[in-house]
Amino acid sequence: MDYKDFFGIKKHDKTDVFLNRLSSLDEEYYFHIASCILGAIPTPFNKQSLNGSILSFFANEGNKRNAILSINDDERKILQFVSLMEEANLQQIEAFCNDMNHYVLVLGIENLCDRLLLFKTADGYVVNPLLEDDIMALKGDVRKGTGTKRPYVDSNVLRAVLNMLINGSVPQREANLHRFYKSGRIQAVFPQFEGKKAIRMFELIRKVIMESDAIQLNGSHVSLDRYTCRHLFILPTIDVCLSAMRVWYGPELEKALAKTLPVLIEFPMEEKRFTGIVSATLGDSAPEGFVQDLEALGLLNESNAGASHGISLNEAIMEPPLKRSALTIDSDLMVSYYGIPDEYDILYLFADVQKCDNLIVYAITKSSFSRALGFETSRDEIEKYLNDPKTNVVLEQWERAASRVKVYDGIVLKCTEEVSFLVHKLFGVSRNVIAELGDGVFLMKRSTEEQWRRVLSKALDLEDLPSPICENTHDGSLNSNVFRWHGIKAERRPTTECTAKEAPSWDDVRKELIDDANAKGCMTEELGNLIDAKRIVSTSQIGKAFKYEKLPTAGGFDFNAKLALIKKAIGRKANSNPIPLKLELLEDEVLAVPLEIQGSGSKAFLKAAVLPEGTVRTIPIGTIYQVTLMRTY
Amino acid sequence: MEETKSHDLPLIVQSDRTMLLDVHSPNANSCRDEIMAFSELVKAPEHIHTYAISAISLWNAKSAGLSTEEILVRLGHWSKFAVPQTVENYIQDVSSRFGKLILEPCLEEDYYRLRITDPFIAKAVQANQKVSKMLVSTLDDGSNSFRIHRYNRGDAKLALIKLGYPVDDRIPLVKSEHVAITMSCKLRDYQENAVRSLLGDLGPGTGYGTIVMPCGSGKTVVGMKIMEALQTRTLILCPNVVAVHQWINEIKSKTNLSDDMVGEYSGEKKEIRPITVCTYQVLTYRASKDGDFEHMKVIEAGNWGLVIYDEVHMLPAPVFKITAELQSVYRAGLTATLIREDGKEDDVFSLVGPKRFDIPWTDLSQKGWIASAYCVEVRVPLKEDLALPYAIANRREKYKLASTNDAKNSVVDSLLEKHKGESIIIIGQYLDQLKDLQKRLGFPMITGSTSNSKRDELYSRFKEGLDKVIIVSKVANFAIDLPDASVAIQISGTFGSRQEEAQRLGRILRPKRNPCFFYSLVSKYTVEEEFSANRQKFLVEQGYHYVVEEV
Repeated sequence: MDYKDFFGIKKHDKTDVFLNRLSSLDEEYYFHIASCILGAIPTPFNKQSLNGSILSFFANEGNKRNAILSINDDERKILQFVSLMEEANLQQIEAFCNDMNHYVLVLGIENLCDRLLLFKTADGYVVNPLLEDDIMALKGDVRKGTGTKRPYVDSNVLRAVLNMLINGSVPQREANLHRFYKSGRIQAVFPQFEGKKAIRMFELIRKVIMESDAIQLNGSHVSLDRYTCRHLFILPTIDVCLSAMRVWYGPELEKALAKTLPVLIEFPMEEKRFTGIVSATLGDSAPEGFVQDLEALGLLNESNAGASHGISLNEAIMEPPLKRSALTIDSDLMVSYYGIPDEYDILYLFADVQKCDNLIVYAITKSSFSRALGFETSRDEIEKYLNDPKTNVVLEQWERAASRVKVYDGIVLKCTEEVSFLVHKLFGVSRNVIAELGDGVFLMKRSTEEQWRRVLSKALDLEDLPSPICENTHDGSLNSNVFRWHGIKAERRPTTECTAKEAPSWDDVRKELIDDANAKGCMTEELGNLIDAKRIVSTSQIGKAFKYEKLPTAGGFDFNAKLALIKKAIGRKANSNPIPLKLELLEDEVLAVPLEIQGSGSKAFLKAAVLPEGTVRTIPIGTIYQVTLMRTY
Repeated sequence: MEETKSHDLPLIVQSDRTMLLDVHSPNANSCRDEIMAFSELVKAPEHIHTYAISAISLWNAKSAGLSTEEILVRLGHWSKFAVPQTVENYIQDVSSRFGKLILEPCLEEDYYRLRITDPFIAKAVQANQKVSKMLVSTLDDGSNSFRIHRYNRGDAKLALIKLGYPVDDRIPLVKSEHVAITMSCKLRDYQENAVRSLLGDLGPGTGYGTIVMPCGSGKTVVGMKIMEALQTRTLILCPNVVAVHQWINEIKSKTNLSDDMVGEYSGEKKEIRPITVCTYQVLTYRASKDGDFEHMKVIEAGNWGLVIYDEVHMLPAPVFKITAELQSVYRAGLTATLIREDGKEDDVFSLVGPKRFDIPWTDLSQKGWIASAYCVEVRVPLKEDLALPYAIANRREKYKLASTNDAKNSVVDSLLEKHKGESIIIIGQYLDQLKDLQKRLGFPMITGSTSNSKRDELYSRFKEGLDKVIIVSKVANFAIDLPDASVAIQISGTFGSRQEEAQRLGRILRPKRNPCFFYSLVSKYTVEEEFSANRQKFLVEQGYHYVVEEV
């Protein structure tokens, strides 16, 4: 079970995806990549056949192994990040690698594309699906999930909040809520959530519940949709938290978090960095406070990673939930249990929550029981649930007390004896009778008024029954819309265990490749460059059949050639990055990303970001002894 | 400790520092013995007992020699789930404060030395206005030490504990003049435990505290045993004169003390003797609102070695003062219920002493040390002619109308018939109601206006079986000893007082061969039901179960 299952990320056939990605590459670039892998390619070439050969190359265990070995730690992080995001653009990757120079990062990503570890897409980059599992299995130096396990919003918390909403603990008017929040009641019920975080958690979950239409509060009239409640209770914590983000901040943040939260499985990081990634995903600044909200909900932990406020996913969420224990019903009518009840558990309906902690405690009281009767929960149902003879006696007495007065909501129909007979006998009318209040006095359903009116009118040969006297305008209909979540219904799964294989290091592989090239007599500077760029991972890529392109060079007194090469490096195809240049200067040799040419003629300057720091320098072109284009494509 | 399988672990620790013990677990008793040392029993219904860890319970544990590490080990060992981090942090933080403030003898007479080992705490203490007034001066010996006048000992301890800094009082308690006391009866094992838990090894930090035991379980005997252990002049404070007489009778019958060794100090008599039994009321009496508590000075000068506070939960606020000043003597508070309406439980702990002993009522009941009791709530319909007045009355009036519902009379008659021949107490709140009852049934009645001598006479007649039924008002709530009462019929009570309900049940809990019955008559579908539910809370939390019967 892996993180994709946890986050409900769809899985596709890896080969199909790989071949699709290959096919979507630019023709020229495709040829360039294929040549490096397969050697000289006759033209015209059969792309399908070439794809098959490239597929075979990566299917080879040795090649695959070496390709993985070639990945250094920075590259690993980028690849794993992209994989966790499913697809990531440069801005997102840059936000993630916030300590890396932009140009270094860009070159690094290009190199990963050249090595077919990444594929460029219209919206960003994706990881080679054939290598993805192995990439994700790589261990890094960063400690994963080192935060303390904290409480989080689970089904018990949802039930408890819902219960507090329906039992009248919580003021309905927004203006009175702040006083309730200060009262300490929330902390008393949820002691495992700290102080202000408990209040914020409550606020968020309250909003989720209200938005779901599971309950409707209208003064003393509280209506509840048990079907919707059940749907709420089976939602995994991640879905509840994302929904809370949606109702509080909007659907865009929800989508962005659904995409970016998986990153925290592997990479606990500073809050600022994570916010940057989310912002890059949103394409706009992330709203303030969402990280604190996710912490309040228990989805995120404070972790040991990073110097400043670090966050990670709360490990406790990944653990399989404990099934609900047997109920303990005490003589003071306190009902307690631990674990997670199933969605059909009805305790929240007829008891009042006291504590939602390691042990969940509810109190059955006369008023909580009466309230449940109003939600069409019968005493039989409750007794069957509790299965405790001692409480049955109490419940029976309470029911009798509660049933001394009944309030109905409906339309009163008063009629003569003859018409009463029809009311009883006509199915279309009788089934809409809520109660017979007296001789010839019936309480009829409001929601089906049109139907029984029609039936009775017809029976009485009337156009229509008379208009009601002092009609009640109360709208008793209940919105029973099921709140549709974003469709991901991930089950809670543990994270992947790292399965780092024992393997030789990349240095060993590199040595092997060089030895092989020497042995075959085809070691050249160009081949050496390709090995250094890790584009050669297999001895099958070394041989006389391979033509290793010489890197274009201009130097000496040929100023114009140097200038032309620099221009070529800068002005590559649209949407492409400049090609890095190796510059031999009077006193040193640097690798730089050319940015622009300033001035003209012999006084022209090259503005370039000198690697590895990326420091921008302005270099007179006349002082450059030799310019080498570091890519042939 | 033995390895225990997780499904046998009986304890769940909650984040609010309560602990829930499953009493049906095979390891429940072992667990309880270990956690009692650093927690307090909150309630003990049928299946899950609740204990709470508080600052005072932790400091109490520390003063008894239990280390923080041991507390955490015990919690971790018995807990079914991981102990919440907040609880661990709290225990470490709070218990570490004990031992940082030490009260020690000083070379100067009338002064003590308060040594504070932590400089930050010393600063915080000095910065507190109330406490700093009591710090006479610093001692120039390089330590953060202060002189405190002995009169301020109790007040200082109280103020410091309210600041969150418990004082480790290492000043040896003073034993005054020797009084030879020998008891002539043997104690039960739980009574011995209670005495031992209070006295400990008589070293510093022991010899004072509160003992909580159910009604009828023999608190008086425990008090006498403490007297025997200490062999010293003793002042016993009681809630009323009847209780005073009861103590005196018990002392005379169960010890070697002669009549001239035991005195009564009350409204009626003013005897100060080596063993003096006094009422709270006389101590708090003053001629005018701003006048002196004239009797308190007399008591203060009594050179007591031991003070026993009977029904310590009733300790009136003015008596705190004298209690604060009696810090140098051994102190024992006895009670069945620690519920106080004014919330001054902590003050009782600070001045009298921490709770040293507590035992669930059901434990004693199961072992036969107190009678097992059947509690029945009888619901009586409101008389028809009361329905309308009741409907329009305010809440207070509703309660009275419901409580004095005449329909209860027939129920009383049926119960008297049902339990004919048994010793029955009828208890009520409203005098008119009781008087009507007496007029109708002709049984003797004791109210607040009954003289003490008449009360003694009537109680004696009841004890001797000459009168089988007695009607009492709330004067009989506390401390009267009616060992053969097996039925109590409560026809009305003081609103929702849990304490009163528990104490009334206590009137019939003396061990006896047959179970006893407690009937509470409640008017159906009235506010009396609601108040009754509240009254029953304490007993229900002690494991008692009320059967509801309807008329």
